[in-house]
Amino acid sequence: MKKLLFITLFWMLAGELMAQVVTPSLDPALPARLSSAISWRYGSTIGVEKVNQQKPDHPDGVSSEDLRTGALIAYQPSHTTFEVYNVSSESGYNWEPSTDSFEAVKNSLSRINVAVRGENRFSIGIGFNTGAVETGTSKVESKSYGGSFSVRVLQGIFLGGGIEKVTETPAEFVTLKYDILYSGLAFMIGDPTGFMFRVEGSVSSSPETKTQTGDLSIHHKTQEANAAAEILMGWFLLSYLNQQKTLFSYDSDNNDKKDNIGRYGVGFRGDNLSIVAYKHEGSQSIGSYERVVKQYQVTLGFSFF
Amino acid sequence: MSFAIRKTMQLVKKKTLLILMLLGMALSAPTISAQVLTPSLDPTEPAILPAATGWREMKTVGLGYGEGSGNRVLDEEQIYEFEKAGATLTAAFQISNFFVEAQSSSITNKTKLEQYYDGEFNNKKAKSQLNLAIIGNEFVSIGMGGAALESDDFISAAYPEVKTKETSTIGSISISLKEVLFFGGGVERIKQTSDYAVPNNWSNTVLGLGLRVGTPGSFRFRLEMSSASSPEAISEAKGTLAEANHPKTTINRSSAEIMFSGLLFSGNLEETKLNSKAIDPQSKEEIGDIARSKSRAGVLWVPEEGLLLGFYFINETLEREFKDTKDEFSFKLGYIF
Repeated sequence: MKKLLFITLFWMLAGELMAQVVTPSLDPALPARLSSAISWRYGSTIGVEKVNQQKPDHPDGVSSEDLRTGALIAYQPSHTTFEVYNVSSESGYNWEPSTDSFEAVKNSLSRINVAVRGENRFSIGIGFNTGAVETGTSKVESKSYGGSFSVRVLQGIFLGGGIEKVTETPAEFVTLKYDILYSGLAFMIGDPTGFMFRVEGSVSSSPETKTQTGDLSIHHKTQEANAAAEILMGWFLLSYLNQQKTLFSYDSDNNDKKDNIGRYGVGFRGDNLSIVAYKHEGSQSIGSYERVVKQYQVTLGFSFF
Repeated sequence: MSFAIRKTMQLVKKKTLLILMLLGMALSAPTISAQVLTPSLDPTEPAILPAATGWREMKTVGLGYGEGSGNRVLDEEQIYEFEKAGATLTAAFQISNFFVEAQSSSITNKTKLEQYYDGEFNNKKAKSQLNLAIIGNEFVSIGMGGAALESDDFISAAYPEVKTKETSTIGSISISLKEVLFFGGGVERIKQTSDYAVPNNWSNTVLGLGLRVGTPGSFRFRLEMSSASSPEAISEAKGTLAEANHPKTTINRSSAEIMFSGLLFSGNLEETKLNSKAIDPQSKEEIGDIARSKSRAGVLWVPEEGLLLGFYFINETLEREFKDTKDEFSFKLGYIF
């Protein structure tokens, strides 16, 4: 059986980049998924986050956890917005049921977004990403760049979409290239000094891509749907997000790999300081096998207008 | 007989002449732009004819980068896969009524041969151009420029990296009526040398008509159509160098752009036809037409001053006995002074 290299870089770090396709989260310390979304931020922010992900369901009872640390700087001097984000894991383990492998993994992702906002009605952005997933035996690196566009209609309704061109290097002299297409619709009203309400729905997809130089390397056809709802009342912030992600024909039996994860957040967002705690809970399944995933996240942000 | 061998034998018959023709095809401009009489409303786009530079309204520096992929299909079967990456740099400045524009672009192509086929493709292409223009009475722009293009092409297994150079000198004029309607044209004299064929030279004549409405900061609309043509030019083989044959070529360009509140929507189309009346020595038939089409659509933020940002989608097709299709996505970043 040929060894297959499953490329899961962006999936593994999906927890850091949920939703925020058309509009930014009401938590200013969270990064945007698409560059054009950052134009709709209110002011500049310096933020940090800590994430603890647990996957305690190896049959032998061995628990695994990922500890990740992220930092964000968003700078909005005028109608131009810059956002720089980095997240990396301090320790992590991944159990792959299809191959019954259990190995330490370190991953990292860096992102730079630039966007301009025109007349408070539309936003154009470009973004650049680099990332790596490193195990004891292999290192998968990736780079991507993309463009996106969003438009505000009727004051509170936002439409947006974009494309991301990804190049992954699963091994020396091996590259995988594919495009990720995004689209979304959001409703966002209010301002952070009093009341804000945001709901957003978005979808993204990328096709299957294979290359065989030595071992077979494959990026599975992927579809993702996100739905988010957030409310800020005075300084009290409530946040909910649901993400459903499918990697098609993931294992040798052509079973799909499915994620169904909910994120619940509660916190404080003042004029300058924000602290929000999240619990991510959901399931990942491959064929008949299913496991529970839990993740705890806390963000701390300092914003200024 | 295998598919690859059968097709190779068919194409070897046409190789000599088609190789020479493709050199002309490969040496077309690596970027698509229709700025013959007036500059694009995207100020980071370079002008084709130098007189268009005279109607620029902004001092600009710009950078573009794009990646794309595609394939070659022969008899409904994919035989090649393409990947490309390219970058452009543009700078435009004004000193009194004197305008200077410098541009540089390069493209690198990687081709994966899924089946061996004795067909040509481009490995690398780089172009530089300097345009100078002077405005008279806000009525006429006269420009002159020079360009250099280098191309590295796969011709056959025996000639995997044929290097070709083209240098050109350009003179053009663009006349404005009421600062709305523009007409004019230019002549480009091209000299070509390569390590495969003897030197060759020809002239390219361009005529166009354009419409540009509005001023920076307000609603703007631009429409331009032009046609460039060059006759067949043949230089006979000498020594170890093959005959150089530039086929009769027609390039029709059109551009439509609309801008409001700083948001620019831009569309360009370039259609090239090569017509070779050369006779295939094997089939005794005229080789005929080769067609290439390149279209580009984009959206950008273009302020009166400050950061410019946007992106384009590009599609390109080439039709011969095979069909090449390529799609590309590129972004633009620039600054307007």
